[in-house]
Amino acid sequence: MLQKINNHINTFEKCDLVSKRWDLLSQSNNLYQAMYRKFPLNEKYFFELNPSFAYEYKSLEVMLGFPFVMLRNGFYGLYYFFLKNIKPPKNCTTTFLIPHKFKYLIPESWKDHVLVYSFNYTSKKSEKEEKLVVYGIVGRENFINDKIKDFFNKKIPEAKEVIFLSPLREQGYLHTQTETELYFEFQKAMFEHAGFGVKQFNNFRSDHLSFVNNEYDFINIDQDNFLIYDDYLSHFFATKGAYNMNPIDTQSDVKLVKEINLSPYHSIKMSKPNSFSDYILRQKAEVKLNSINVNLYSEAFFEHAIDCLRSQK
Amino acid sequence: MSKIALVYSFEESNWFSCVKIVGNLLKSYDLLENTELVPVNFNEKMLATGLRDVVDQIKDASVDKIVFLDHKPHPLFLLRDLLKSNPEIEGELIFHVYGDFTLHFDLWMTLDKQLKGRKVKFICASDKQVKLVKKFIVSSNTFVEKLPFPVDWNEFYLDDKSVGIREQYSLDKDSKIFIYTGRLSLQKNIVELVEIFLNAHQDKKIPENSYLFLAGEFDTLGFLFGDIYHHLGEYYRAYDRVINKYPEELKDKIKLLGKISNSKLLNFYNESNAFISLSTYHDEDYGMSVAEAGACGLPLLLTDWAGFSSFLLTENCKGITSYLTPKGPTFNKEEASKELINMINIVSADKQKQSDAFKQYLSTESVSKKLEKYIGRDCEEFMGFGDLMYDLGRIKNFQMRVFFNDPDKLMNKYYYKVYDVYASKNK
Repeated sequence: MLQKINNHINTFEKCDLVSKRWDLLSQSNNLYQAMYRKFPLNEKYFFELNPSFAYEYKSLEVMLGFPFVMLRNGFYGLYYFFLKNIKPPKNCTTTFLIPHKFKYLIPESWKDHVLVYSFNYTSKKSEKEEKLVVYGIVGRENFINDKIKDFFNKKIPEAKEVIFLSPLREQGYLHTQTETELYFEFQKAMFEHAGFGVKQFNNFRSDHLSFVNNEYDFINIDQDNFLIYDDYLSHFFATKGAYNMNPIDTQSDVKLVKEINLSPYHSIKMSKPNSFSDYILRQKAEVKLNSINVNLYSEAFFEHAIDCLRSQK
Repeated sequence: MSKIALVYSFEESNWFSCVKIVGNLLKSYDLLENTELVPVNFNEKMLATGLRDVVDQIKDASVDKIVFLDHKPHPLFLLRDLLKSNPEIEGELIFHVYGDFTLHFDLWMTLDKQLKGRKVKFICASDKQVKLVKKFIVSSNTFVEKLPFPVDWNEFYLDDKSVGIREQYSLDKDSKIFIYTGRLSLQKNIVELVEIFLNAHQDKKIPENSYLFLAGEFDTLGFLFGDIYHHLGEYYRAYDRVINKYPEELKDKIKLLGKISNSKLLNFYNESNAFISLSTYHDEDYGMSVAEAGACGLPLLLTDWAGFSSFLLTENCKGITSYLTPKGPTFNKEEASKELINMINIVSADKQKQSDAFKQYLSTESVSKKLEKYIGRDCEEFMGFGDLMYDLGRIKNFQMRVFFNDPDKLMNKYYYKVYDVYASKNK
């Protein structure tokens, strides 16, 4: 596997990256629009092993045309992907990179075709703890296990300068979800916690945040990674040398296949999963038993998946 | 007593070097004698909220001259409102031209009508930019002059005191530090610079204790005119792929410093032995970091591309041949390797002499003196922009890539027509 990665990195071409392909269609218009509401968290970034969301490919067949597919999806997209594909296709030569946090979703039948990944951040915590960027798109899927107030009390330290980067979306992931109320509830909790001096950015422009540097700490409000595991802004801030206060998970106790730098301040770690669970097989049976329509844009499946993630904690 | 409206954005630009430039230009204007300055805030937010207050301020001030100091917003947006509603305003219009001149052909073209028949002066930052701007103007007698963007000697100056940079990076006290500061970007040719530096090491052509310091952030600009768009991390990965081809002990010769504040930059310049930039960025009209490094007395190894050529002030400044090619600008790599090796002999050159030459050329005081002459000089009425501006302005109205030919994915004839003066040769 190491050889395959090394060869690919030295010889990759732009057509090996879905982010550089303008000729491919995404899975469905509804899904594309739903994920578009999560911009910039799902914005593209560069890595030779093809970081992408499953919805960017029209079908599994299209995915298999790429040597590597590094899935940036959170629990929901990966749960769906493996429920639909309990076994890899026979002709699969593609290596799939799956978030380490959700490795329990990988059926054993996939073992020859997967690596798990996580990110490693080397920036030091700023000594002064004075400058903090809180970012994310407020949605109910961000607060599956913690309430909004718990998030502030547990995760957000006092800081003199707080930047809040959160585009307001009227709709949530599903078009039936309205997020405005939750957004204002979040905003209220933030003002109560951090005061009225919070500097707000309601849309993302990289040049407006050019002041962020290694004196800043940053944190994603999304602690559950239901929709997105690998978000763009964590790369954006890490690349500027800011300190990630709450990295999702790290693979400290496993033998790495490879670690590759993504910036001077962070890297991606990849390893072979050392064990597999039968979680997805059990869930497949449950879904069938309860006649849940496995459809990424179905309300029932969305609620079911949220319950699954909640019960995993 | 002359009365001048200085129009600029009171809000800082996100273009780091422009923040410095505007600040330093203001200092040079402040030094003008017998001049009353009227600062006028003109920023991007006002384009949405309306410009009535700015227009009224300029009108009520009854100024002799209106100076556009900043690179944005484009003067068109203000002059369109100001001159249309107040045609009686006759003051001279002075434009400090920035590197983004070639990004706004459509706007300059639209402004043409307002400018014709008025006294207009274009002030460029380098000799080659003067040549480039003149290509777009009908009359060769139009006022287009060079005035380097100033450096404030309170911020950048030669200081022999060590502040422990070598200790901080565990380098011996005799080690040679080559420094690059600025954006780490495709057209700044950072990957090529690293390769040239590490190859010289590998071939043992430079002393083992030579280091290359890179100060700045990796960006995503790519090559706009050449249809190359980068995603976050793309140029860093290009750098990382190259550096990983070298053995570990050589990789250590490159130090990524990240973004450095002004005050710390001074220390890095003063502890370095030479400044290197092999940039062929299409709008390198000047080079603020080169100016600051020169102010600190550093020998310079540069391409002779665009504004860099105006920095070749002493024998300790070397210019590498730059070319236009169908894929964009580039430079002579063999020559750069050779000059890098030669540079070792001048890294201990007389920094004071270098710093003095730069002081005379571009300190806020020197620039102010030149400015005084330019401001005082009479100029002819503007006869308008020529066909080249109109051709490119019309193309720009339809597409971003005015210099790119889509079918064959190569630079087009306009690219050569405009940028030939920035290169030393065409291929």
